[in-house]
Amino acid sequence: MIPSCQQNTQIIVNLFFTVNNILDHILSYQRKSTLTEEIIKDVDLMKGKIKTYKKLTEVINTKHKTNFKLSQIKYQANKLLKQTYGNPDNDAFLFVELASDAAKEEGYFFHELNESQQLFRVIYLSSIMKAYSNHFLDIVIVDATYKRNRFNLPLINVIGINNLGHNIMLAFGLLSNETAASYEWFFSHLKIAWGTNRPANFIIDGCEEMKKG
Amino acid sequence: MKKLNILGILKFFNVRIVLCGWHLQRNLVSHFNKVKNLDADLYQKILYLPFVMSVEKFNNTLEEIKDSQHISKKQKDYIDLKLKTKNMWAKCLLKSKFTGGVSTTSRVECLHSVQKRYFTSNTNLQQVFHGFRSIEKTQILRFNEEFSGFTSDLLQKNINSLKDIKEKFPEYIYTKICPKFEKGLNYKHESFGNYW
Repeated sequence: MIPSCQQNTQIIVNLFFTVNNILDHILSYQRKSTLTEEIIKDVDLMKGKIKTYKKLTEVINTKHKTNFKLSQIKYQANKLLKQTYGNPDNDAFLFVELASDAAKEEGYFFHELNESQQLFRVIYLSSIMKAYSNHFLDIVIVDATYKRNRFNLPLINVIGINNLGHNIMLAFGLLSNETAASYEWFFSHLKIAWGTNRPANFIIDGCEEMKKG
Repeated sequence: MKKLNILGILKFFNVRIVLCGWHLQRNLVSHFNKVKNLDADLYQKILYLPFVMSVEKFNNTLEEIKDSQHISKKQKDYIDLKLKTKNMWAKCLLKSKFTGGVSTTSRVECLHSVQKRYFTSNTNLQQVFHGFRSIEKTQILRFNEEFSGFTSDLLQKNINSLKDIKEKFPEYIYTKICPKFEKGLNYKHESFGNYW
């Protein structure tokens, strides 16, 4: 009698595990399939604020108690980005058109494309910036920032000080990378834009990370 | 030191380059962090190195660093490397030259905080361009507001500073300031002689 009882219990245990696995699979499948409007709204809000897609999936999974994969969230975020801002190539093209139109009268605009016809470097001086450069080039401060645009291109700000002690913008540029060649390109065009006006002092940061690059 | 940037600038412009004192101080903090627990006074002196006003004090602290037992050879080498460009960041050496009282890039950081309102890591390139334009417009509006504040009546107003001081402050201050005012007002230039 004893061996038959053991057999029965084994069968019940096996059945329990199989049913459990099936239930788990069905539940997880249901979780994956339900991408509600609330979740899409959250992805839309958080896509720019959270640095990586991995963290974004973690935040959404913990908030809504779901089990989304990284690829799903990444696809949704990219889809929303395209919906709101359009195609990246088209965006760059429109930006170049806008800036070149604005600089036609008195400003200065120059851009360079790389081998695969992508936007590589940009420098822009508006008519007001150019007018400032005729008078206020005693002190020029240069610094770069990151993550100020969709493509994470380093944004270079050139700033001066006017006769009232206020900050004035003298130029701005977008570089694809912070190498010696790209900096040289930027300053060479700055020299062309300023013409005969020559600056007296350049103030830059002594950041060590830049040295490595 | 931002070597790439400096070389790029010097290639095209014949200018004086000033390195940001605040960034240099941050670098010193990261390199001399261990000295803080061993010798707190020396640590403070090292951090204050870019902003020391007298040359004597600057040299004295450098000597102290060389003689100190708490500072490793690697740290001393780092200081030597920085000293190669001391003319660009030491305030005691820069103070005799015109830099408009600016020795840090804090003014750009100020603009960065303004730009934060307009751009994020999600913004379009077109939006970046429009953002720059709107920042420029607001700047010009503020300048105009400031100029409109200075009316012609304000300039024509008769200001008698000595009389105001006598009325507003006690007599002690008036007696101290009065001779200095007189000396300043009756200042005479040295005679040139018969040069022409």
